[in-house]
Amino acid sequence: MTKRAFKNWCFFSIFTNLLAISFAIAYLAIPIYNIAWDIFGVVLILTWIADFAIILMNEKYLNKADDKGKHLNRVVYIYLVYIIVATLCLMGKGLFTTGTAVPSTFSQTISYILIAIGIFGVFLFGLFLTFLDLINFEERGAWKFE
Amino acid sequence: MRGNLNKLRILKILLKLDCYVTLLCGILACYVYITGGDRLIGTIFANVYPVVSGLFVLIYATTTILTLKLTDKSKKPKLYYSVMLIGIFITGILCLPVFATPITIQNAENEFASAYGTNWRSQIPDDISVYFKQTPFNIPEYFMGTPSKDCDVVLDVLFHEEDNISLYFDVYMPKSSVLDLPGQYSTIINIHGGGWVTGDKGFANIPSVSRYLAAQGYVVFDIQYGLTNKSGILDMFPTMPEWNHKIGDFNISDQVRHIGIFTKYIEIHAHEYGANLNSTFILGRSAGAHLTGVVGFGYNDPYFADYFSEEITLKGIIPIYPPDDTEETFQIALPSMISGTPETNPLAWEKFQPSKLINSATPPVLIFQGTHDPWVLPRNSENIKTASNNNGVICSLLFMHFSGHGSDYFSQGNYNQVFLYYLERFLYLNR
Repeated sequence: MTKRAFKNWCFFSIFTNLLAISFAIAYLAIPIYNIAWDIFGVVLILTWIADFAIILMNEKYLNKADDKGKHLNRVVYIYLVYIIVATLCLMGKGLFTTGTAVPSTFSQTISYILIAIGIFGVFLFGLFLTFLDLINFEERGAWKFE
Repeated sequence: MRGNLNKLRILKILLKLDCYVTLLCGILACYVYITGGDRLIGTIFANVYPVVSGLFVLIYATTTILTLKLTDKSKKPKLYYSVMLIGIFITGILCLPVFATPITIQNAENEFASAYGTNWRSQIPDDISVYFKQTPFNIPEYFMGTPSKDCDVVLDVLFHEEDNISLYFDVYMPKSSVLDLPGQYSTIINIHGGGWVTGDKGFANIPSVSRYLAAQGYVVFDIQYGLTNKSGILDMFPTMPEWNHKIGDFNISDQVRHIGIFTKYIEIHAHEYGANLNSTFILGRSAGAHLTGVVGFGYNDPYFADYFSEEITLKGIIPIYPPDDTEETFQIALPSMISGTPETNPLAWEKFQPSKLINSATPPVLIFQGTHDPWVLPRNSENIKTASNNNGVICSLLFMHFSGHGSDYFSQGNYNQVFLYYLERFLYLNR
């Protein structure tokens, strides 16, 4: 992969993450079925693919012997662990909602917090990682493109 | 500095260990997905993984990348590529329950078409279908859920006391301000599962579904019945101290009688909840589905004379993963739940087998069954379907592909989404 292709993928990833976050806010605000939610479904999957691709590209092209590269690599590690924790939060949210007979302010707050960690957190972190990649793109030695 | 390096190394080892354990679990889950597995492995992997498989796909994709990052490709290339292949394989296989959703939907469509005619949707007016789910499966709902439906709830109403037990129910009612809802105050009696020895109304009986149906105009009674303390292999199921008020030396006949007592209670108190008893459905999960079958199919059977209220008109029976094979279920798991043996007391053993109670007067049936259920094998549901067909009873059997037992416990999941879509339509078509 060329440096230019990586950069273009970063822009695509930023676009999908922003789109997914916007859709997610709209979904929470208007919880009635709309054809847009089918599009949101596709956007969700595309965003995860874009974020995983960024992670894999970081893995392949980061120069971990370099200080900057090492730093970015640690961010990738944290992101991966965060995705697992966030997904477990989504599971918890689903089970919590399933078992709630009388929703209270407390239970709804918990639900929103779990969605914030599980959906918004993942995409915001994805945005953050992509921005970091772009900011450090011209750093000498941080990358090993052909 | 050295201390930090050691901490980092320990963290990496722990992370690696966690990743390998996760991948091992993934391999076992794949084994169950592909082969159906046995009861032991299936209990963990068929009952848990498919329910949230879409989320497990994310976890396994991430775990695979993490494991690869933690593996030195130059030093251990074989391990690196093995992990890569295994990770891709597991992630791919875990997609199957979600990818099979269109097949599940097509199967449900065929079942409804054969039960209600190919144009069955035209029997639901447009002004009613706006209240229903518009698609059987929606990806954002899978990951983010939907807000809880608005309804009135009354918890812990006592309906029966005898000896040392007291039985309660919760009721979910439509908001009185909303008129013309599809349910029109039809009654749903919801019976929880738990292997006849455990389980409860409320949390353990998917209240989100009760809320959903109440918001559609149904009055849902989520009821308790006496749990048995008779010994059997189901003894290993956990029980809570707060269930002591309903545990006793009960058999299946007692449990059916308890549900019957509720029907008599509600005959007197229906007006307090606005429940229309002329249009009543019985719904139950697992052991509750077995009781649903016995009560629903045997409602007018002379064997159960005096058990149930005569003021209730059943319009539909909804057993969800129902045990039907009495001999297999009770002789192995809870031998003393039916008195005698099939040889010494054949009548009792026959009358507590739902499929044997079906007759031409049985109301329409909707069954929900996982293809990979290790506890209640699909042939149990097929028995009920066959008996229904033989007696000319409308019966739709919705097979949930790759699903184990209790796959509706993740209410926003693909299985429960599909189930609710067809359940609300079944209720409307038969109410």
